[in-house]
Amino acid sequence: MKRTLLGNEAIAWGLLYAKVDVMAAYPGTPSSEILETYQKLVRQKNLPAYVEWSTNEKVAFETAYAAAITGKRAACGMKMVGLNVASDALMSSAYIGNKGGFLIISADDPGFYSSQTEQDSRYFAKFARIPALDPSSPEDAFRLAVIGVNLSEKFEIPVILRPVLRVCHGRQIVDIPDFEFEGREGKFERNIERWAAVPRNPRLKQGYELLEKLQRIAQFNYDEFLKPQVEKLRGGKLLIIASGTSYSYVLEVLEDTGLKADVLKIDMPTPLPSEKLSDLISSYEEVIVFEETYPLVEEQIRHLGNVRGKLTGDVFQIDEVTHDRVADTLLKRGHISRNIYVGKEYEGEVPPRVPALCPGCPHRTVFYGMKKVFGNKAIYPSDIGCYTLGLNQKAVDTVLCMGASVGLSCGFSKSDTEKPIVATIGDSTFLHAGIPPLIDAVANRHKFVLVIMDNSTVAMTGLQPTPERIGNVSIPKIVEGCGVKPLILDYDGTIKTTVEFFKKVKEIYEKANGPVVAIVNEFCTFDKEKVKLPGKFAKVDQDKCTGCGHCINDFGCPAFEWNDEGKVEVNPYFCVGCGVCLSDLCPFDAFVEDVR
Amino acid sequence: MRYQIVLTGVGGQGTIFLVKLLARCALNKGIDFIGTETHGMAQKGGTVISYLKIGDFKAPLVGEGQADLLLGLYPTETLRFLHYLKPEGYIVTNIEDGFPEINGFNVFTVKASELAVKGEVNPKSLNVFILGYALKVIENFPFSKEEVEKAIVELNPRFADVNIEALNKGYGVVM
Ligand code: SF4
Ligand code: SF4
Repeated sequence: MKRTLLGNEAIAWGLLYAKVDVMAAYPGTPSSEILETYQKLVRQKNLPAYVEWSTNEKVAFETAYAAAITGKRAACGMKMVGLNVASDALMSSAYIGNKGGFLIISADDPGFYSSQTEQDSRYFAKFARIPALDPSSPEDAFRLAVIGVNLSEKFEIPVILRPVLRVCHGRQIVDIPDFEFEGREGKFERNIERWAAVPRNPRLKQGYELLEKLQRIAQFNYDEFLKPQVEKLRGGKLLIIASGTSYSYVLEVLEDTGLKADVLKIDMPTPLPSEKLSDLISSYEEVIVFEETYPLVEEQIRHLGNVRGKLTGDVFQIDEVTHDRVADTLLKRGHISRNIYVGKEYEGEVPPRVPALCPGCPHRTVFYGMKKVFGNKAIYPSDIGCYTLGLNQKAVDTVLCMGASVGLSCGFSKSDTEKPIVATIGDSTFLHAGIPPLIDAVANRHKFVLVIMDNSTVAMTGLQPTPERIGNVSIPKIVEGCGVKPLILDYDGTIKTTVEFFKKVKEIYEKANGPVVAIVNEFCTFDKEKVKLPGKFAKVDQDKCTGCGHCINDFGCPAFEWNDEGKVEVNPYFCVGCGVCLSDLCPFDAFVEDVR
Repeated sequence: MRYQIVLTGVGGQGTIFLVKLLARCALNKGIDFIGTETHGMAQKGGTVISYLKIGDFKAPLVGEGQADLLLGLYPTETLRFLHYLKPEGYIVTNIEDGFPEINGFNVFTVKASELAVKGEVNPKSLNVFILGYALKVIENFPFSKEEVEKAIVELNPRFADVNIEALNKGYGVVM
């Protein structure tokens, strides 16, 4: 049946089509909707399958991998930085392999749309010596998800499916053939030689086996993916080799410009049977490689002919593929005479719209109170989540990776003893990677304040449930178990209570000789179950506003706007009626209620 | 049939619903569809841009200077993404106070935020309201009002009445 599907939805359909009956994931843009959809379909159709949101990507990986060891078909999902977290398990599992098919879905984000790195998950596949599949569209992602699971089972090796943002969040009409779903019974069969292979000899043996498997998979790559295409190529001046989404853009640019060139689509960028492509590549005057994000394919074939790409400086080296970037290369190499992908920019000025916490978000009040009490001198390490945007309030000084607010605070506390250190972390990030560094802080007496902003949801990626919500896991008890009795604030939507709380935190911090933990129970404004907005809308009394800018600079609700008189106004379209700005924010009491 | 739309606005305005809606219309009509939309960074008030390509396309993004229509749910974001539009393309946008004079395109504006704050248009259906307006003013839009109404019902029957009302209000805006 034909459906309009998001790429992530198409992948979830692919998993079910391939009879994957265990899936685990940790949310991360742009990957989150894969598990969401898989879960929804399993529930809707009452399928015999197990699905979970795990505490982090490594746990998700191991949960799914264990299922594949027992012969079930399994998948795990994450964004590419999550693969860094799961990489310890990944590297080792490549040697050991699996019985049931095991697909690792690692979604990349070329262009840094919502990620702190751009990295290329295909390199992880190469590094671990396992195959990677690189889909070019939602439709293609369905196809390759199915192939990936089967391939993994055939060769007993984990396979990485690497969709990029524009595949995950692309939408397309996809034809899903009818199918019957059945699960499998998992049976763990003791095989100490394999599942518990130790250094040196058992692992060395697995290493040799892995190399031999790779040879066979490269041959499979040629037979299944490349040969049918190669047979149809006409030969001539220009061959374009494209992996993933680049393929779709190349096809469109050729069509738009009327340029005639042969195109070879790469479905499996590693392992690539390079020698088998030697005659082909050397028979063209020029070969151009387009791929995201690093030059993986190019590196493997550059010695075979006149190959142009990122390494030769002919193709964009960073950011996502666009029509314009493909055309730019073709223009520079003299294949087309004009880049048609230019539009007319608006000549006036458009006010910048920086990402900001939502209007009414409790994080903003917490940052405001925290900053007010601890001042400008303090160091504010923070973490990955919506609250990173506390940087607009200058209440976030560092962002490194999941859990690093705590780890960096450990180091700062010993390296700059002059400044107070106040770290912020969300509940999900704390449970994901914040606990080991907190234990370190207790053990080694690192003195800092850790503020856990707990809205008991993964807000940033679309409200996935957390261990607190689904399993009654208690963050205060965890913190206590680590050796610190936390201070707790139930957020009440006022600046006054928030500031008073942080004053108390500061007193305790001044006397402490180890970490101080403050937990603020908040809500996300999208969270229908928990959101508390009193419906007190605001406007600004223009006679009282002096234009000092305090509200915009230190608080910064997106509804605040400068007007032509140099004063602040509330844009009623954005005000959600949280009422926070009505008291203790403006030094001149200019915010008044706008009764609607 | 080849038609490319760039849809812009700010977070929380329901651009994704419009993408789903028009994709559904394409499905119903047996026309191909590909596009891509902004998810994540859910913060309300942030820039949101979606690309919709109706007809025989392969790549999800619209090339610069190629869009037939720039559909704007929020004025600043309409201006920010002007460069996607082809010469003589259509701009159909929500505006607040005024909107600069822009030459070389077919510009249609409507003060939708104001109607939403006043309660004349359901703020949650502002997206569909603008689409209704676009259906009225654009020649050669790939789908008719009836086709869109049908897709609205199929996509979200619970809110279909509210949305169809907003669509018709937009369609009925006097120019
Ligand atoms: S999504 Fe939720 S937690 Fe994130 S900024 Fe908005 S209200 Fe706050
Ligand atoms: S009440 Fe004030 S702080 Fe709250 S959303 Fe409205 S303008 Fe922003």
